[in-house]
Amino acid sequence: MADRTADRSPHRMADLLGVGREAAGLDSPATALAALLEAPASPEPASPAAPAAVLGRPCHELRAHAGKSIGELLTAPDTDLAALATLKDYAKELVRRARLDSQRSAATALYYAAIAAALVGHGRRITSYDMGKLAEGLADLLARPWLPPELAGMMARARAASERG
Amino acid sequence: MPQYDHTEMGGQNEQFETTPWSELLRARTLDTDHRQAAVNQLLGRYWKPVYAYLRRKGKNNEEAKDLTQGFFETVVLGRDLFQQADRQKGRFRTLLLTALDRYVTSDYRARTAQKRRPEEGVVSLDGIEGHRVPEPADNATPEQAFHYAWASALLDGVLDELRRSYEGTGRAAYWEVFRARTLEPILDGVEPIPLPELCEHLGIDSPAQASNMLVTAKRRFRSILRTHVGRFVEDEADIDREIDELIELLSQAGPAGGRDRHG
Repeated sequence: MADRTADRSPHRMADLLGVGREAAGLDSPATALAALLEAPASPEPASPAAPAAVLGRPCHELRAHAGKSIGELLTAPDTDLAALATLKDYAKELVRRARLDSQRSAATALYYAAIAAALVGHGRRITSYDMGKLAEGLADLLARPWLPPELAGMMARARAASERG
Repeated sequence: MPQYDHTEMGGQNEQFETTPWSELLRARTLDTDHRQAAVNQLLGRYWKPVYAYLRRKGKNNEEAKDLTQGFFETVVLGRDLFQQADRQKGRFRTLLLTALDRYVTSDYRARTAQKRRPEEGVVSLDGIEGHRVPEPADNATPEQAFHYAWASALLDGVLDELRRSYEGTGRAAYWEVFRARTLEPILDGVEPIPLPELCEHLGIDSPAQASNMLVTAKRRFRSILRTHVGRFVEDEADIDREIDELIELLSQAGPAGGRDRHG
């Protein structure tokens, strides 16, 4: 057997495994995003995919919202900015780690959803993106048919706000 | 998927699906000579992650080879692993790693490993010499080294089967398209060869046809990957979980991991 993969970086091997996984057609951005939104916003590293595990630190900012799902946090009007910023950081790290397009798309949607929630709920911009770039990103996501209505509505409002500057 | 293949040996037309579970069962039920051959077969399949783990534990080449031999003789073939396999048949990779960790951390076993075996070793290491052992990043843990080598061996096996499946059936162009458009860009970081150029080189009628061939080859890659992974897990649903977990474990190793010669 040829040692084709020996000495390749773990990321390259993950990408190759991802080809086998992705070709299955089992993954879609809709299912990947649904899984992210349904996950509990636990402050502890309860699972390898939990925010605390992905970010490598306890997420005290989420403690006040224990028991809620990430989706509930994003759409609830009383979610504080610190929690939304943590979710944004979590999503950013998920984007970096994603090996499948579906996972990357879902994590990107989560990232913009956290920013949109802060903009709509608190009138605050929790990203270094300027309003123009933010509006572009939101517009791109709003064109995706797999975006759930509850996020699409919030993102549409955020897009309008960002376009107003 | 059956975990224990109770097929008796000897039937000329009999299919014997090779899984770690069936190999373990076989190794334990055969006479001494055949058992030795079965253990050697197990070692041939799984020595790399074991050896990589031991090296990352700080063992030198000779110590690692010695402990690899000892592990397969006394643990893999021994009663402990088989009984654990009976209870935890869904997770062979985890089972092997757990058993290996116990073996190494047992001072008595580690210290007496050399004394128990003849100089040449009972388990043959012929298959080890001359092979490259995948090495992860310098800061990798022994567990990461194990998973890395496991994934590397898995993918090597899958790619080998994919290539043979095409080359052996007069459809080598499928493999070449997969290699040029997917495999080498991913593993070596090179630009995919443009489809028109590839068509000219391989005698393919059109880029559209080459594109279809690539889809077919990817589908076959996936099928073979699932078959190989399926040997280590309990049921169909676990195959995707196992692949996802390997992807996650490799991703956690960080972009700096691996001795990547191609950046």
